[in-house]
Amino acid sequence: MLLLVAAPCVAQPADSVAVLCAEVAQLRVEVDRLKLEIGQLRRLLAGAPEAAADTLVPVEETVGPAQAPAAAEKPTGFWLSTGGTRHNAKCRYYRQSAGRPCGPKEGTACKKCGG
Amino acid sequence: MQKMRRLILWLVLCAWCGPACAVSIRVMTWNMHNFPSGVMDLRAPEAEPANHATAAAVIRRERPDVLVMQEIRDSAAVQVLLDSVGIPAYRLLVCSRFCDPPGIPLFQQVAIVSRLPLIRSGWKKWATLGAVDPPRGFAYAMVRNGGEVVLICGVHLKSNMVKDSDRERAAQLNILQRELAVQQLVRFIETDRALAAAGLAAAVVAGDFNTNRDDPQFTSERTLAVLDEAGFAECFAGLSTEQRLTWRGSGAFAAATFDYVFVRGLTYTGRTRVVAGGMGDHDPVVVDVGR
Repeated sequence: MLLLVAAPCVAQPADSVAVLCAEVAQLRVEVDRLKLEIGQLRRLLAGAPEAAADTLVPVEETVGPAQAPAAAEKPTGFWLSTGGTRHNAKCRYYRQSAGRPCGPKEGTACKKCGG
Repeated sequence: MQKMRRLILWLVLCAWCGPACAVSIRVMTWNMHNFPSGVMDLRAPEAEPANHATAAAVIRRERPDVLVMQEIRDSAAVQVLLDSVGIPAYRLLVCSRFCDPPGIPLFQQVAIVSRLPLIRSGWKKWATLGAVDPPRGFAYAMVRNGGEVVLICGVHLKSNMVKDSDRERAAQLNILQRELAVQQLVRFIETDRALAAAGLAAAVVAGDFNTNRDDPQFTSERTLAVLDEAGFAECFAGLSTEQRLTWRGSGAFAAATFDYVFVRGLTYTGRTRVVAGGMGDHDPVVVDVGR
């Protein structure tokens, strides 16, 4: 009588493990498929086509960066870009665009450096 | 006489083994957080000497053979750093000059310093594909290690910064930018004729990838998988999350693994270490690699 009762109890964990393993395997397949779908949706979102081989070649930077025009005027520590923004000497934009040296009150102060 | 014989034997062994044996090299990658000012897009003359001294102390302590740096203002900042380090063997092999769309140089460049002999170096901007326009690009240096040619690539992939009101779209675009960048890097390594002609034996890709395998927001991202599939081995395999936190976190964002070294044609000869940087928001990653 005891054996009859105990047998299903012993067998059940093994069965459960097998079932769970099968479920895990199935879930893994589904996760992989979902990842793939998300990747495809991501490309659609950006309007990015499937990359052709030649478009995947990074661009060699052969053209030099924009050079600050050689200003004949004496540096004042401030630079007024042609757009009317004033940058101080600590700024990344200082003397890097077309413009001229200026005074500390000219133009609109750059939001990054405070002019 | 006995000593002389041993010396000759040793020299013969070295000559025979030298070209074939790659010497173990130590690689360190470090996002140095707007170095040297510590402030985005600005110079800070008052703070820069302290940051130079802090970084130099870390480099002297770790003594990497190859140092891959991100968020560097320009080559002049690296030269000042190397002067502070004071180890004459170190040379700046390459410092990129990435620009913003108007053509003004960014203050976040990628540089490679090494004491290994340089064969060739350069940097390339990522190509744009449709609406996917990855920022910056990568710097590379081919160096001689023993008798072998090793390629070192430094990257700083798109951050997770989201300014757009459509946050989900912006987050997915960030992922796309990283994925596209790494695809281009792998294609460069596998198809560049100059690399093939030089007889490339091994490649190291190091830098700030701004992604990881832990965070659910990156579950479907393939940036790191692209390198896995290209045969690269990640430096953090087998380490717990706590052992590989390279970004210290900020505000609502928890600390994370963002910085990696990947190698192909080499193996890790010791445990990867995340060491104290003492400045900025990232800590350096140090690995020893060899045959």
